[in-house]
Amino acid sequence: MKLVNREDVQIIVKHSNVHKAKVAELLNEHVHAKQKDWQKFLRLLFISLGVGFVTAGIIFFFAYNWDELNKFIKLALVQGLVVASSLIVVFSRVSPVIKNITLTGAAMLVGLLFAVFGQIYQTGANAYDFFLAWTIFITLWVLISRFSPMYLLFILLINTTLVLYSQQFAPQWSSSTLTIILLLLNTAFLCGMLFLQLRNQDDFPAIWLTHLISLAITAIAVIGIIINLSETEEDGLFLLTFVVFILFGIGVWHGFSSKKLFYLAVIFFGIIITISAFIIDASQESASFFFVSIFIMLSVTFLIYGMIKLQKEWTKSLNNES
Amino acid sequence: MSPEKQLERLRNLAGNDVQLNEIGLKEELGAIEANRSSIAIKILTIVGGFLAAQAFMGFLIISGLYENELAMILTGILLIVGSLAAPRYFQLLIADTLGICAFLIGCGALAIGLGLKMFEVEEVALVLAGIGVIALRVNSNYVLAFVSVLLVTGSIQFAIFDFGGIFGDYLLFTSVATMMTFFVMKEASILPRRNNISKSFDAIRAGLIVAFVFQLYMTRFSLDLGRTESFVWIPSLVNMALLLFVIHQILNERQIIHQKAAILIGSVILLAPTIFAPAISGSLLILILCFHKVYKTGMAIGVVCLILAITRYYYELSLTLLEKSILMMASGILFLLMLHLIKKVDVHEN
Repeated sequence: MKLVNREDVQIIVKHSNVHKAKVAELLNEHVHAKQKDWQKFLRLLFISLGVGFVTAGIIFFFAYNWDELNKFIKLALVQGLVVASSLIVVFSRVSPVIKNITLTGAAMLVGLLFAVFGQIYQTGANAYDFFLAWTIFITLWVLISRFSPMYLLFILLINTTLVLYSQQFAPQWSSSTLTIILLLLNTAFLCGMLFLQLRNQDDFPAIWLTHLISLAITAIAVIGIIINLSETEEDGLFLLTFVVFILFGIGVWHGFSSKKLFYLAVIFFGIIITISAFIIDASQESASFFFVSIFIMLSVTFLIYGMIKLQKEWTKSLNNES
Repeated sequence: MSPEKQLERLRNLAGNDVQLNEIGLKEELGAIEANRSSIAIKILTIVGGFLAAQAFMGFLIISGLYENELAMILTGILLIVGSLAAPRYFQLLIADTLGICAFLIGCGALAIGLGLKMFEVEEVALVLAGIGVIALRVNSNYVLAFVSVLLVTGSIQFAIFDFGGIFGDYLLFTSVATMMTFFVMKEASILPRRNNISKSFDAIRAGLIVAFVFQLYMTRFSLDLGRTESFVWIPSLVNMALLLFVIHQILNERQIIHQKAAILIGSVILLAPTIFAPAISGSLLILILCFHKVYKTGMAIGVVCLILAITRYYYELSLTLLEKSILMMASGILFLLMLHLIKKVDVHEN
């Protein structure tokens, strides 16, 4: 008897005369944590707390003495850490997961290295340079790592670089231009990740990464449109809405073709929010609030109805295939 | 798996001495696929219902309709009763958004109507808390039960906030923490009761955990931790007592008798330095409770809370970086020693 879960026990309780002691026994035997689980849990808890605290302690120790340290020691220290962690990745025989975690740590240290370098030599206050250099110098590691958190760091860095660049060097970009660039860039990443997911049999790139990027793209699109609504430039809004329309269309198509409800839920909810914002922006009278309220209620209900129906169809076709 | 196989599996699981109502069971297994809602659908339902209710409140306020308090009270009561009665007649997942929205608008309208002229804010809040309790008793819908738990604790919190008593905060904290612990721990005796509380067990559990996290992070005492007033150790003691109770129960269940006293004393010593940071012991309470009862969402909440709590604890400690550094390294080494210790115990046992 494998794969007993809480729901099974709940169903049995609902449709039988089962008494308290039997329920306790079922839960204890099949659902709740066993001795083995506890051993694993405590090991994981203590190892993460132990390593985490010791590392934090070491970092704090250097932070405390930072001002008094000679600049060569400062640089040597960070560089030494970068070199040491790369050596571990290349030469040691630890498991690939630990190697990847170490490499991600090294990628963070590269950022620290540039920060220290900038602090010592006063390389100027262009934060964008700093993030660009950081991004460029970890690119190779990212490519060889096949590790989702590393890719997340990389994507975050590129987005940060771009936003800072637009603030410091391209003030002529309107907010809709920046939004469109961010959307296209992240969509390109998403497509790449999804392609890799299709091609690779292992867990790389992880589902959470592609879900997170899709969620971010939808959020950028919706927030970008809402911010643009209050601006006077009509052209930018039109172009942005057009781009979002196409991207959402592709997303919906992907959701249907890969049978993933997540994309449909996120995109349609984004559309509902956007339409509500349009209505309230058009007229801020009581009637439009009333209308928005009814609209959200009905559209979310309809969306959930559609999702449940699709889910049923898809599980059915999945069962037929197997 | 086909419904027949499922039925077979459940029959085996229940054993021979349990009488199953197979017709009801078959119906349930057929309906369960149709009504299985992923966490995405639940979030969509709650967020959608909340946004729609907010827009509707905006309509009431901008249109000036809210000034007619009698109409507000009547609308409120009508909507609340309607949203609580409806799921009895048609159990449809798709009606959830409508129901939750009507319930929230009803509460809002009732609060405006009552608060406009007749009652004080805290009285209105207590009325809403009462409605939440009634909703939990008469309803077994997942989303409604979840929102009701938050309505009860949120309203009481609001009443206390308006009333201004800091000990009220502690009282509420203690009640929420105790209720969460006992609700999660006493699963085996709550489920067989077959009432609305046991039917919406999952929802109430999730609601209580979220309410407890709010208590840990959003109350006045958690915001000015250890700085402006000195009774912050009260919630810590509550957490520690509950934590010790949980550990004690777990040790009993796993029949670990010899090391029990040592483990309990060790826990007290480990927890003692966090006496002024109730968020740490609180997060540990969530984590251990949910791990014991294998509730994954709760465990994830516990881990995130624990990381936040520890970070804030060190951030707010008024020590120099050097002292913090030594403290951290010492605790790190302590945890690694503990790891070594349990590894030894494991080897010994196997």
